Amino acid sequence: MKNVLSFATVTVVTLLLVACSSKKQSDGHRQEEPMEMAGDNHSAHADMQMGAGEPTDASIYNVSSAWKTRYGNTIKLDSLRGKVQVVAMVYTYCEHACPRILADMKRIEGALNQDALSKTNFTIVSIDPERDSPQRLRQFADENNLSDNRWTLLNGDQGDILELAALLGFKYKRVSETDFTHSNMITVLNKEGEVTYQRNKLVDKPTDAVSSIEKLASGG
Amino acid sequence: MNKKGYIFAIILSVISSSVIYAQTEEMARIEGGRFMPFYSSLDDSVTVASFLLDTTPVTNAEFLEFVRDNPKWRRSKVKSVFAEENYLNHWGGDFDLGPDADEIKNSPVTNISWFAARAYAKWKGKRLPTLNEWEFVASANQHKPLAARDQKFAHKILDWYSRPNPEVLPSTQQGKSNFWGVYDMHGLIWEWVQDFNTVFISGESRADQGKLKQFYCAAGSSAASDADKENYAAFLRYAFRGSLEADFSVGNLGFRCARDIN
Repeated sequence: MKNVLSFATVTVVTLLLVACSSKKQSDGHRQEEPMEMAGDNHSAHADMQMGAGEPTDASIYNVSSAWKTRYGNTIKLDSLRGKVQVVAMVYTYCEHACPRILADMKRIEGALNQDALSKTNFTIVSIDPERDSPQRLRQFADENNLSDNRWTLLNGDQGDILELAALLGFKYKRVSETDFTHSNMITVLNKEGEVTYQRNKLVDKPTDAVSSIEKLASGG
Repeated sequence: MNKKGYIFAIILSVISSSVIYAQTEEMARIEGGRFMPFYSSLDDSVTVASFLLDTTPVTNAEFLEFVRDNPKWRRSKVKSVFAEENYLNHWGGDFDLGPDADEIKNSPVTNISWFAARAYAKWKGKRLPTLNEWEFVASANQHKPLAARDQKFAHKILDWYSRPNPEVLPSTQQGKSNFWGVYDMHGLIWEWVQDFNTVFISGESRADQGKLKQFYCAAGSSAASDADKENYAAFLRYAFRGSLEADFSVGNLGFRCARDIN
């Protein structure tokens, strides 16, 4: 109910934002994509900020937490705005469910049409920040061929991870020195950062997720 | 000159000691220890370090101060992602406790989300207690710190769980404090804890689910033993927490704050 209403608002807002949304995205990752930074001139940047405004009421980008990327850059979640986000919370030393969650995300990536793919980003948030340092995340990304331009890996502090988990309805608990029990959840956020699709179990075919993402990608 | 300085020092020390007094008055020092939580997949007992805990839940009047100071937590301003529409819906308006204001100003604030509770704690320079800290303090009765196995105590808690909520919540601190000098851990409201979302009831963690299933069966059976009943109160709390989402704003769910000792 709430979602339907806010979705309508978002559609309107995102329509206003189309022109600058891809700019926004590259800005959030400017050091990861030096080529795009060169084209990011100052006045365009100022326009983009004006158009973007505050996150919508239902957007998880209302949080102010700061995160480190695999390259050690600090970003706010708000910098993920402008693209459809496929989000999962995992830990890289996980030997059971997490590799399957990652595999599912890659299956989604592989199944998206070209247009949707260009408007979608994949974000992995570690629930084990001590061990999943930016360096470790970078190594993990390299091992799994997670490209710079489509995959964001985040390291944050415990309280901020807990807050993000609460926003997504993701549950996790440390069960030993090395392991966690956790939801097997993949969340799709629309371009404004509102939760629009969630899947709580491992599935063979990501059909629902793919159609949900393609719809959101084409919608603004 | 000297004399002035001397008087000034006295005034300063009076001020600072009264500040300290006010703080310790509201918070009880909880000596850490080991206890048996309702369930734990780590091992049988859990260690809690010493910490400070508010002796009473946060009241409507106290929360009103917070809302005045933090416009984004006003009822009319709060973002829906941080609190569902029931947020503070027992109040009359943004700064108005409603027709029962006098009655409820010293009652625990309820209809607040986890995000709101957390923001309040941060504003106070505190934090929410962890689930284990809360349960540790909640297992104390009037006379001893670990009374979860005390049948009289367990039955008293279950008695409260079986009563419907009153229309207007009574003020805090009406009953007796527990071993730690803490009031209202049972009998008034349910309380948010920092890591409420570590409780699984949907089957991700098999160990937890096994224990919970056992209790669902016990709940439906009149043959449940007294040993089951002792834990049944804890089971209710864990099951309740497991059903919560962080934006929920529920009529009998409030909170209190904790702080590290340093």
